[in-house]
Amino acid sequence: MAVVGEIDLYTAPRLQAEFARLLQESTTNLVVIDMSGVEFCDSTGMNVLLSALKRLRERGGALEVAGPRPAVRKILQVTGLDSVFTVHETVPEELLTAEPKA
Amino acid sequence: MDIEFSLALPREAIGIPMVRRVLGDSLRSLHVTENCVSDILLAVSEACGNAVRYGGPANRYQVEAAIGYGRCDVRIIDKGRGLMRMPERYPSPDLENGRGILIMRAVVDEIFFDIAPGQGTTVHLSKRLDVEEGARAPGRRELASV
Repeated sequence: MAVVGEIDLYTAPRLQAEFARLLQESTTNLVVIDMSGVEFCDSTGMNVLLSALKRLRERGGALEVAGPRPAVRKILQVTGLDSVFTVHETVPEELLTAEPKA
Repeated sequence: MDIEFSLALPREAIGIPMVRRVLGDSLRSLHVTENCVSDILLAVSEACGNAVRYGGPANRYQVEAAIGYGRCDVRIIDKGRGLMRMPERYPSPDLENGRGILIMRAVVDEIFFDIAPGQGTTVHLSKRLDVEEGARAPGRRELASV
């Protein structure tokens, strides 16, 4: 799943809804988020990722983050969430499935 | 160069990206490094998010920025109930809230809270500006045409 744009209090509900849809429509338990197109993300974005991770863990799965730009890597770092999500420096191409935009 | 501006915003999330545009463009015009700009924008977004969420019942809030003398100072002023909780450490990954203030602390040099119960909260963020090498002199942007 690829996310493009800015994630904050204004856009987070849309991302949250997209995750809810994805998790309802599919039985997948591994989601890799391509964040290379995310220019900005604050704690509301992190909260959405955490709630998706929680749902995926209930299924025995995981949520991984790929290709974060420096600004996104910084928030992952200062919150310590880079040790909660597996962070890939680049996007593993074979894993790309859909491209909703936030 | 010394810039000051003040924005009065509706207490709605849609205004937060606008604050980032205005502040980000101002800082970038002054050749502030991208890392420094993104730290400031992150902290300001967190503070604005708090003002939007907890600054009720007032329907507006204010952002005052002063950029100059190698510093950027931003005040986010709401007229809410002034009941901001101060977390001591990052919450466990199970919890989805409570990170905003700690993120602000981590990315700016100084942060002050002025909390008046029943009257509002002012968050003052201050950060020393890192300027791109070789771009110290102001006014180096070129005209598109003459």
